[in-house]
Amino acid sequence: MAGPGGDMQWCFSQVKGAIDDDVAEADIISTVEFNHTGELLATGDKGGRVVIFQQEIENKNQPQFRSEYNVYSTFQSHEPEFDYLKSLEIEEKINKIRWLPQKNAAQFLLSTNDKTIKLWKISERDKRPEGYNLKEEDGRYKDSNTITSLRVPVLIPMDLMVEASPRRVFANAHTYHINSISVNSDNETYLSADDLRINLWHLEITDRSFNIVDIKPANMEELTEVITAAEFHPHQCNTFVYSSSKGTIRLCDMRISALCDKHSKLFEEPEDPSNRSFFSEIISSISDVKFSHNGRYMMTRDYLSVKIWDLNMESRPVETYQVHEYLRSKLCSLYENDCIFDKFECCWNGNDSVVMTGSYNNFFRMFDRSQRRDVTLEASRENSKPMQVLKPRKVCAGGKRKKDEISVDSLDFNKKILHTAWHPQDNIIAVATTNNLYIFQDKRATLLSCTIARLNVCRYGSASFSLTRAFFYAAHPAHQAQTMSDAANATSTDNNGDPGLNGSWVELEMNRGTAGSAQPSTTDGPAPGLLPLPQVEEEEAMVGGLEHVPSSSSIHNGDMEKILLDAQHESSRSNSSCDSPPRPHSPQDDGQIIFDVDVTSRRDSQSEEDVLDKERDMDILMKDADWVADWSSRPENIPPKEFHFRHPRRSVTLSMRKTGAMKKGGIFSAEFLKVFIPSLLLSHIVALGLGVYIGKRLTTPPTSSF
Amino acid sequence: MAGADGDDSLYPIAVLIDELRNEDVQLRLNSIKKLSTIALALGVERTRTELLPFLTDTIYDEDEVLLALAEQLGNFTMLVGGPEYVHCLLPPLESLATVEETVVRDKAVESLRKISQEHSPVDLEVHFEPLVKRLASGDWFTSRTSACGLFSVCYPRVSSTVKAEIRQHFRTLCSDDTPMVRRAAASKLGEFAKVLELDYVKSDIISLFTALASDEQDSVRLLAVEACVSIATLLPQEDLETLVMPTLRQAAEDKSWRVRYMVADKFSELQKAVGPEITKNDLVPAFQNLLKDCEAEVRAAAANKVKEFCENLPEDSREQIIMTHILPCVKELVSDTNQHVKSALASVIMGLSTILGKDNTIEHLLPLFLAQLKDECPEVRLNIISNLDCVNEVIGIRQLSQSLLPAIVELAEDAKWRVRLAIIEYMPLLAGQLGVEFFDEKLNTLCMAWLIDHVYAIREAATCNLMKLVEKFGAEWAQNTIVPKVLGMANDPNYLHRMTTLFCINALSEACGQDITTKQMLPVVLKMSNDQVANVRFNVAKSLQKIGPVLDSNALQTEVKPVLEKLATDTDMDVKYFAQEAISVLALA
Repeated sequence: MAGPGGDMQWCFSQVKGAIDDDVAEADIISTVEFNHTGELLATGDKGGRVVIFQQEIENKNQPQFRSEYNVYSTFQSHEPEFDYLKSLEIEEKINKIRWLPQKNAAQFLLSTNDKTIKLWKISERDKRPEGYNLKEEDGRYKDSNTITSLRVPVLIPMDLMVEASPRRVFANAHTYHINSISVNSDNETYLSADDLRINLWHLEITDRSFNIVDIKPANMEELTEVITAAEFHPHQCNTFVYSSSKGTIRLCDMRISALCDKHSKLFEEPEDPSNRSFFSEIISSISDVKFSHNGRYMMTRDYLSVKIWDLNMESRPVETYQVHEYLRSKLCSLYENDCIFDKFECCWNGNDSVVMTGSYNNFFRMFDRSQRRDVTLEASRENSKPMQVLKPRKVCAGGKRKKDEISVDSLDFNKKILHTAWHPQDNIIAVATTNNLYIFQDKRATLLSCTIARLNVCRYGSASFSLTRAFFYAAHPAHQAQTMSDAANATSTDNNGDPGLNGSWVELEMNRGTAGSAQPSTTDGPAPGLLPLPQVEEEEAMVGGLEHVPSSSSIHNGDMEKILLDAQHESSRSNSSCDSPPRPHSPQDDGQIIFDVDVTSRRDSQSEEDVLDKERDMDILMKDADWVADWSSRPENIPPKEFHFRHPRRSVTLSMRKTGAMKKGGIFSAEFLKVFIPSLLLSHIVALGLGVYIGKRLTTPPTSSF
Repeated sequence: MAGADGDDSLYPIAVLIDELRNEDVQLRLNSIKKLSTIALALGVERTRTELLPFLTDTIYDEDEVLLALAEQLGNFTMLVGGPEYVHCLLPPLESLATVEETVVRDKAVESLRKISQEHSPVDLEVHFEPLVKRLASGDWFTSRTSACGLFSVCYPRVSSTVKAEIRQHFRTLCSDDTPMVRRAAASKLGEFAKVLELDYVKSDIISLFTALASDEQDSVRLLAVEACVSIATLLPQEDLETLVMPTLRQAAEDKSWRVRYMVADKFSELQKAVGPEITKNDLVPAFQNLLKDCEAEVRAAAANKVKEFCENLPEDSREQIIMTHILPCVKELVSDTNQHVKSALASVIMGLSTILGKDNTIEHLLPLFLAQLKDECPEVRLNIISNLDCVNEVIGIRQLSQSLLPAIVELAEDAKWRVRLAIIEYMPLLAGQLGVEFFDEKLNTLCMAWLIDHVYAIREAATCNLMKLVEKFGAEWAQNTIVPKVLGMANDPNYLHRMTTLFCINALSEACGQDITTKQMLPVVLKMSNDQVANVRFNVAKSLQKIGPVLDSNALQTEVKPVLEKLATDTDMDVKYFAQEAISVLALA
């Protein structure tokens, strides 16, 4: 238990935001960012507001007893706009916030929506001028004839006032939607990346920017990937990386040439053919990329995993952590409800030893890199008793569900944690659920400052409620639903040092050297490399881990039938039209996924009869085809015909379905599917161990069902 | 001075003072700009004790207000009581020097440098120097960057112990943690070196310079190149090789294109600073490399310097160096893939002909000129044509004329009107160099065709061009070649072309003189007063007003007056207006 950094026990510190369940769209938090000292924490929301919290130092003599974050400043950063030339609405949603290194007593941050980046100054003022010549302090005018002497105003102290003022507006440089901004280590430039281009700005010059990366093909129909995130190296002013929807990361050196269209390094993990599925491309899209503080590593987040790359090794990541592998069997339904396009962010802790990222059901995951352990925690109202230690959560992926495990089926996919931030030095984290911001701290620090914190709790209830409009303290006892387990847990918390809480961290079976090969590609392992072992108590871990094989590994055990059944089950549950026969495609939707055409062409080209496979396979294929056709013919899944990099009104960010990639030549085009569907089937069949080439088994029977 | 006697005189000042804290930025700005008036009214005593303390704290304001304030304070010496009280201005300027806006800080530093000259040597050590130290050791980089600009003004005037401290502070700032401060220090390095004693330049500055030139930040390294120029001028020739050249060589081969760009951009300054010997041995190969750089930006910057570099080469070996080293690179650049590089080269390449002389120009440069005249990028062709005069002096333009003509014709018919406009502007120059015969033969038709271009700006430029041609070739030439064609257009069915006739007449009347104007142009103008298009008619009125002074009074009274009177009764109100205006201007009423 005793070890550096590894035994963090996270306990609740604060929660911000409204308590009631109906969430106003504008209140949804869209970004969270600590400044360089960690003293300030900024959040942006869909309503274009930026709220800044300041950490208050309760005890000046012992600054390590940091206490809670209070609202420091709130301002409206962006307003909704309408681009009349392009007939395009521009949302006010804050996509990213980046703090600038402190340059004087004031603080500066960059905030961006889809199109416009703004530089804000947040400054304090504690003096005001007093004394007029021509009027009284209360505004009444004096008789100008009574002036007999001149009076120079004097500055007198006043209550501290925090002002946020816009200093620069960097506009009109992005045709597509800005997804990232990153400040260079030279402190005079920053980059902004949209779906297809990256621009370089000088912080003091707003009327021009330099385009350093442009991946827009001459013909938009040839578009195959988009930029999903970009970041500057923390120390090397000439290096930046950008990630793509294809799961690759490119590192560019700005010294070599003015245009960085040619990368100097390409980080890409070779695809595991046995793991290939219809969703491979979507889930390999990288949603976030972050350099470690020391600049040696970078972390990428794709849909199911977090990968850590050594900048010196391009061929594969040095570490891979599965975030929610149990969702692999649910991809179909996640595609249905668009969750598969969620852009999860990830972050490093202060000394790069732990990484954190979000998941569904308000779960968030931490991976301890040195000790190979991970933990799932939950940000919820139930846990929001002051100083309460967070209980590790376990998701049961299949088989028998244990007492305190949560079934995959009961996960709430509407509750997702996309944005998290880690204090640059201390073990304090900020986790954004839909419209709430949770702040958790390491228990060790908390225990010391426990008494102070308790005092604070009393204060919550009284004074601080009126601070700002939407953000207030909800850590009031009255709002806490008390469940049995929570109560028990809370008790044990108070008796600090309970050994059972060690379960915060779950051991990861993994060793650094074989990180790449420890991928779940091995077909026979019951619990492939990085899967979190279900564990309740220490002694149970070894046995229990083997008993409860997560269903996510089932794909490698050849349990394909189950997947398909599952998929069918999922789709039928989420949409009743599943049971009706496939509808013919309406003629006008040329952007639609046309599966039956595909099947036909396959039938034409693959006329050879195969004798090896029997009814069982046919059934599966039929089911497969049925399910796919069924699912694709639903009108609500028809992708838009035109290419618009326009974010939908929902919380989905960049969706591949809505890009030009969907059109001819894209990933869902008929041409592509001609290759793709067989390969999907192939992967299944290989997994089944039949090892027969797909083309030979496709005969008229499966297609005749149409 | 600001006595309680006159209420009326105090009122405007009172308003100004109150507006120092008005909500409206414009009013505050206005007040700040009249700060000297306020100070004058308050008197030196109250300015020092009341106004300046207030201004010191009022740094929350908008940038433009602060900028105006920083500027004002630089001229405030007399208003606070002369040089003995000038130190009172330091506190407000000090707080302005820590503001985050670079423009404000720079202005504050400028004002500080200005008033430092008004400090007595004692005040400088007692007040000014401590301020510099405070800024140099400030918490925020804004104050430290400001300090960098102040060392050089106080260094020459302080005692040797203080000098040592200042050098120490400068050293510290050169190795500051934040790149901004290192950038500020690097940009002031040359300036500071100039005020330092030579021994200290060798011992201190060189090591700082070397460190900055190998900084991890590209933006710092490239500023060191600038410092290189001033340091090199300070050092005796024999020390350059050991102290400066290693760093300069390294900069010319830096991994970052931005640093190499900077070297290319400053190349002629560097060349002058290091002298002919090092130029021959070191800079020529470096320049060759820059001309062949893999980054187009660097090549373009180097190409821009080709002429200057060649001019400054030592006389004795100039031709040999150019022919064997520079020209091969230039030849490659003529067919560069990047059009910016080519157009940068085209703008200077003609200058080489004067340096190389007739024979070399014909043999080596002419093929390049001709190739560039055929370049696909119009900017390249234009740049060549615009510099024809250089070649003309050496070999005469005839050598080029065969290639020139197609190039000009092509540009004259370019689809982009801006390109056409650019070539029209060079027409008078070309005409002068090519001579009348050649012009009449080849270019005259072009000039006339522009008059009926469908873009107004081209037609306008074409009329202007005609005027310049007439000035060059004389009235007689005009009478024979231009005037008939222009006047012929008066019968054109298109009213825009008819109007062009009028515009041409406006432009040509003065250059052609009274005789031609009265005999040939006036009848046409008068005839056009019956035009059915109102625009033409009121332009007739305007033209008459314009050419009136050229005509003799007889013609005015007998011919112009009746027409204008008729036009003054026109049904169209614009025609009426311009006719009446012409009548009154020509005093015909």
